[in-house]
Amino acid sequence: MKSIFGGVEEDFAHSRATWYAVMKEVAAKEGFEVKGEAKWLLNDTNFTNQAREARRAAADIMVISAHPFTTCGMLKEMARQGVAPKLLVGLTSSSSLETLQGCAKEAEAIIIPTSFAPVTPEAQAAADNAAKFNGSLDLHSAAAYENVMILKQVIESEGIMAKPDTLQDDRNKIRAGLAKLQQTTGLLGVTKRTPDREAIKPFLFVHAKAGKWEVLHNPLN
Amino acid sequence: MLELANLSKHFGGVRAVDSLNLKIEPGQIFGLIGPNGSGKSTTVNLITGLLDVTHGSITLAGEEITRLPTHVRLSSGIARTFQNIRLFGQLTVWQNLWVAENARAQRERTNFFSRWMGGDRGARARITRALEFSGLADKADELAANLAFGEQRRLELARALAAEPKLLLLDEPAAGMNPEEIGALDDRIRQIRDSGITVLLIEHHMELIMAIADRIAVLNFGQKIAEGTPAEVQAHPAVREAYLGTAG
Amino acid sequence: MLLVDLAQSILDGVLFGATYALIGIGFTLVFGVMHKINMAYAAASVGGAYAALRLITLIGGPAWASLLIAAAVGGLFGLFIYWLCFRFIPLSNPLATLMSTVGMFLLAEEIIVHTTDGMPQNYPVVVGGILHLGEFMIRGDLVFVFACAILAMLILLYLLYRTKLGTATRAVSQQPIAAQLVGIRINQVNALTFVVTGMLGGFAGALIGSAVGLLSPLLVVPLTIKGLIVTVIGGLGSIPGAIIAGLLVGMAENVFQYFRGVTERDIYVMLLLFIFLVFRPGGIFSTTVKRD
Repeated sequence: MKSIFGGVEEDFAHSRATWYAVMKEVAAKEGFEVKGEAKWLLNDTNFTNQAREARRAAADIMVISAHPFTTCGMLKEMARQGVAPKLLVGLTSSSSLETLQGCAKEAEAIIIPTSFAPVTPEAQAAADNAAKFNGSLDLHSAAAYENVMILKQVIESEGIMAKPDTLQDDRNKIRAGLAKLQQTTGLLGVTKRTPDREAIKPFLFVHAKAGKWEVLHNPLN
Repeated sequence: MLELANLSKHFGGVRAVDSLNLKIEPGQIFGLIGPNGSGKSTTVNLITGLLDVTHGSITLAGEEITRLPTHVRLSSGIARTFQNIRLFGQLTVWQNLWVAENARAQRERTNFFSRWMGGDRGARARITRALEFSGLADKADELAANLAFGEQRRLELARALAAEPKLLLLDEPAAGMNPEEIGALDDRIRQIRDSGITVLLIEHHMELIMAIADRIAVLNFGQKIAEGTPAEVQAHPAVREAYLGTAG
Repeated sequence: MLLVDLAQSILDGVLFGATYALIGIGFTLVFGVMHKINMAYAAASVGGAYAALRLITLIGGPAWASLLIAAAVGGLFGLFIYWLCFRFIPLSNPLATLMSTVGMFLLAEEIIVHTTDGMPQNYPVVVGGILHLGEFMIRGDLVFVFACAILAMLILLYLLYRTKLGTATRAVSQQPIAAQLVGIRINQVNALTFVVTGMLGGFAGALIGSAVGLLSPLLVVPLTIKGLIVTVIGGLGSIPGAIIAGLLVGMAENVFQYFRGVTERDIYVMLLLFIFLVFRPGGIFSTTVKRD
């Protein structure tokens, strides 16, 4: 596989950054032929032009950096126009149930790097808990879950009193406690931190198979 | 035919109609006159249900209609024309009368299809007859807004008659007409009465009303100040005072 | 290649514009009859499609049946909106029903989000297939939407201009007081208008769901905006105008996108609206009936 073509939700920051600043640059650096990208907006419904551009580009790899709604719209139009890249890659935030609710058939085999899948006992337990309340644990809700757990950890370790007259003191302690953290334990393992406070999370690759997300590659193992 | 008992309409502190008692016998042309602002048009609006009654009652052919909504009063037999013409301007003359067939449909409780889709079979003949009666046969496909003033008045009258009313209220039908047209109107109103429809006529044109009314009531400041035959009313001192500002 | 692509863009745009046309017809019809904008129209239409999709998933049945269910549900929604947003609201205040229907719009959107957790729902293909004409591809489902829009227009024009209901409806719109005096129940006629436009809306919502392939709350705002633009460009109250304007806006969108890219596309569509508002405020052909 030599060539790559992008599809970008042009009016959304992380969709753009993922394609332009990460995937496109890395692809070029790694020797792939970047054949350009098709653009659309967050709530677009008509993808005839964009799918045609993808068809003309005839790249081996198609990367869609968009939310589930337009990812599905684009995939459906690609199916209509018979655009079938050898490899289909999606944006991390689309590795959720939404994409499969919207277009399981067309999204079949799409590969997405994600920060969550129930691959550890802790993750499985959390996912089961969410399922019990009709929820679905995905990368978004798992991140929220981890955040709450981090707060819990800080509250316990810093001795937060939660009394009316300790309010200001508690706030300062939580801030200091959070600033002190160099690494936290998430559902998939240890999350580290860069000096400018970006998180380095464990990640893995999932792909859509028969209407479900399955783990394709787990670098943790 | 129509009986108003103690009928009153107050707008805030103003008594536009004040304890009015009227009794109109079937087959009459009943005239209602009075200076501007004396409550004539308010009375008509109360009878047709466009205004709510403050107190008192309205009885039509023995049936109380005081609180009925306008469209129901129509099907129980009241139709009217307006002082300022209210036609469906962007409908044709023919359609103006076709729509007015609604009253009949309501009365006869016709099914949904014949009421709202095609209308019933007799409609075409009835409308054609009405157009001939009003001298509008050659204008059937004209938009109502494009008619001359006199023609619009005739169409409005024809539309009121299409409801086949027992009681017809005419609110200043002669306003803006020339003497020739008024003569024709005079004939038409008599024909309407002779066909068995009771007519309540509000008019400023004294000559017309004195000529054709069987009975006349005079309003002033919302109250009835006189009632009788045209001759009696003309001789009544209170009427002279209301109109001329002088007694005797 | 350039000419072929341009022609294909025009074709795709015009066909997709049929979905805008269907929504525009609903806005324009209510305006023509009541001189009011029903802001909740597109939201209720999408809502009708959601209800139909849920029912068809629950009880099973062919995809085309969802169109009929959506029409029926849409009619009910129309009646509901009339009762809640118009029936007891003073129509003489031009802002009152605008606000009540904006409220209904937000409510409908919220209901959709809450019942589906905001997840896009796959909508089955009702009419599928692609016609290949040499270089060109024509989407079968959009041709079907296009045909439905034309059919809806013919039915509505027939109802409005050839039946007694339509004549009565126009009578109410022109002269409400006299309409009561010829025995027309204004509330009944207005309610029927909402039922008819609601049915059209539900049908349109389902068609749009099927053409997009998805139902999502994200459909509601763009459809409302496109519907309103189409209504203005087509001439408030003009049904043929709404159709032509729908196709025109769909085409303009795709052509501007082709030449100027997706980020500038909407600027030019709004510019088109602006040009119409300034130079032809009555729309393509304005046949709005005025109260006399």
